[in-house]
Amino acid sequence: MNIDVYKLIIENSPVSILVTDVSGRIEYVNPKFCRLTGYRAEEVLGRNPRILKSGQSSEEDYRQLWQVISGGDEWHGEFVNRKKNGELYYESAIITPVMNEVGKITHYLGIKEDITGRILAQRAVMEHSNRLAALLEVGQAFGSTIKMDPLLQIVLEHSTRMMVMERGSIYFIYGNQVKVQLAKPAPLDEEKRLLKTYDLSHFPCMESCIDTQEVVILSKLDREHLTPAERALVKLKGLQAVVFIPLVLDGKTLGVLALGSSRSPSSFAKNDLEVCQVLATQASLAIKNAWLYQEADKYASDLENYNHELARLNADLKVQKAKAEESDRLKTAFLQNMSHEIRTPMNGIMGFVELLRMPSLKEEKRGLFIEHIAKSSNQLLIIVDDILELSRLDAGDVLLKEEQVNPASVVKGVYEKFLSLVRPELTLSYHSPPQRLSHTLIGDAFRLQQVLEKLVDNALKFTPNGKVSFGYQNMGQGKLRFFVEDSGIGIEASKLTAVFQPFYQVDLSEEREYGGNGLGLTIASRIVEQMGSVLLVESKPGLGSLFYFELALQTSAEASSATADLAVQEGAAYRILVAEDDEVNFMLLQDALMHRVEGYKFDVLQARNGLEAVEKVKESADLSLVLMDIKMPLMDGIEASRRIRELRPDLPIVAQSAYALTTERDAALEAGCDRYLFKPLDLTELLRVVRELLRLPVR
Amino acid sequence: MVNTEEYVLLVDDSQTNNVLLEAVLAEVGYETATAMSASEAWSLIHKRRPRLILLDLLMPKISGFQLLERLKEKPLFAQIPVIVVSALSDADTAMRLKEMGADDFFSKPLNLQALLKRVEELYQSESSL
Repeated sequence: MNIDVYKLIIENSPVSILVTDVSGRIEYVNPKFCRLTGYRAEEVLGRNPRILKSGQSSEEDYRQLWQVISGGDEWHGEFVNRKKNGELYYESAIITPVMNEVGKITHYLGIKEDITGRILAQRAVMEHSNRLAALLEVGQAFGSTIKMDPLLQIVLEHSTRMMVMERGSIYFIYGNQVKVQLAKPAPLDEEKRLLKTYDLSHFPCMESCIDTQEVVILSKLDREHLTPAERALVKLKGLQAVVFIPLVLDGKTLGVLALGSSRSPSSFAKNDLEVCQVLATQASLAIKNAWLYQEADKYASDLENYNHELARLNADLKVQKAKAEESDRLKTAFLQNMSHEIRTPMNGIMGFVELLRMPSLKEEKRGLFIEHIAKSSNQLLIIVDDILELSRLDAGDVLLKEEQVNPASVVKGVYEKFLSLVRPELTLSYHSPPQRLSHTLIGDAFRLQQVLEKLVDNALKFTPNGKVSFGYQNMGQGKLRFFVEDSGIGIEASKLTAVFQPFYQVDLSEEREYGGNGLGLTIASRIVEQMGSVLLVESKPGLGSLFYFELALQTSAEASSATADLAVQEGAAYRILVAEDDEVNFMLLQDALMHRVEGYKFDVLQARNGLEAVEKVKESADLSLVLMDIKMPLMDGIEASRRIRELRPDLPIVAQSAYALTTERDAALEAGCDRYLFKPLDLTELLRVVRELLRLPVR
Repeated sequence: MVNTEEYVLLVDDSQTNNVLLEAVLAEVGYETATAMSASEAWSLIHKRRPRLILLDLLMPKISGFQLLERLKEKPLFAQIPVIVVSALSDADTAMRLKEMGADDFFSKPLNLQALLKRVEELYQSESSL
């Protein structure tokens, strides 16, 4: 072949050909080289091939290359070079030294093939398989839990890692508002505040992601197009770009996965966004599962709570039923006994009256008959009085006086009353030690005497012979003990508590041994109870019984201040706030407070919801008590009680609610309510509680 | 063998009631004896078998129910008519007494005319035995 043919071959070669001298200066490049690099031949002739260096091939490679070719050997390798326009390209090169006939290197010949397409394709395949592997791993990770919080943690973790993003947040959409659910690094208060301040319309990028359900990139570079809220978000995160990935559930966007990067937005390839989309789909599914699990879990625990509550209510109901039955039984027994006790003397009265009417009546019998009529009438009167007394005590209608009592004269009064009635086989005595002047007994002398009379009467009845002594003794520590002791028949231990039940004696009455109507001890014990004490009994069958109770003494100073307080409180006005949204209930409570507490005036204010109640407490410093309904509009009673407790720690609060749930009662008491009453309200109980909380003395 | 004697036994812990019935029965010509307790009545019955017993229920120690039961258990006394006189007035008591073999039951306050009529009937029936 002639030289022209060679030239033609080289000029048309599909590979780049480059020739340098021994110092590396370019002497020849073929047209392919020029087409590939963008350099014209005259631009490169005389220059070193390093003008093509991209900096991405290592210096070590170049050193090795020179070592090989200057040693006369051929070098094979790959370069990453840069075109004139800055674009990178890959080439596979063979560089070989050209020697003259004496074996001296005169030139170097480079033959290079452009392999950019192949490299990129390989790389794409690799990346694709990497992504597939990563997605698989993500899928497995997402499936590893169905609990919401750990799941969100995993989603964020894997998304940021996979997308090589520095920051990530998961937002959930609530109406027109977006809330940050989780953020990595940890939730930023500013981010929360930012999302709270601006609604969704201030984040058009996010909004568009939610609406179109497609990945949207918010770039710092589009600065002039960003809203202030978006600018603030980008600035807050210190990022170049935020990628919003929609979390779509059943066709509805439920939230957004936001990934932030300091990479320039232009570096997000189409592939990246596709991966994002796949990621989001998987995340959404996992979130849906977690959501369902959360709901199911909640239902299950709700159900369990309800079951517990139901079981408790059932148990309560059983107790209530047993109580009701017992109370019914007692009521029937009480009526039967009462009937018996009334019929007995009635029989005497009516029978003798009929006898008196007989024309054949002998005159000397008349006096005896009238005597029996009188005795029976008296007995009848006592039973009627006792029954009335007991029912008044039960209804709380017996109000005790608060006056200075001289116990010695009370005891003496009792002694004088019974002295003439004592049978000759019995001795009756009383004890009244001299009292220290510094202490005073405050109470109701009449009722105290009544209690002692009932006890002495009882002792005399159950002591066939022997002695009955009674009186009081100073127990120290400001206590006075009143007692009635007998050497009578005594009471079996098993019956000691029952003796205070009404008609106890008659209740077991087939074997009834002693007279009396069986109400004396009941009345005595109820009165002592009302005096704030307890009537106790100790007894040994055959040896006798001891009944006693203790009353607290007050020092003279206390006593006078107690009476002074009384004088102030007598007729004093109390201001009560009734928080109640139901008008009928309010009127009922108002009426009860204003008209059913004797001797005290109540000024009743109304609040129709919890907020109003709190306001009223703020306004009226003179409030004495709050009645708080729990279920009210705007703010419920529990929250209102909590706030009132902060304003006025001293103010008594009585909660009342139709919910017979202990959980609610506990919540009310925890919020600071002093008492909790169930609706429908027992007004007597309510007034008792009000009296107690206001410390109103019983009159 | 105890012979039946011509008298009505009144058993009641209430003296008033005993005096009343004693007077009422004396008025129409009956002999009576009174016992203030079941045990007193029990020993009296053994000494002198009455033609009729008027029995109170609620009494000390031994009740009228128990006395009635013992009477009905003893063939010797089972035939003595018993009228129960009590301040108990409920139907349960009436039923129970009937089952126990009481001849009649009068509630206090007593309808004396009705009681006398019944006393007469039962006193006669006993004498005819």
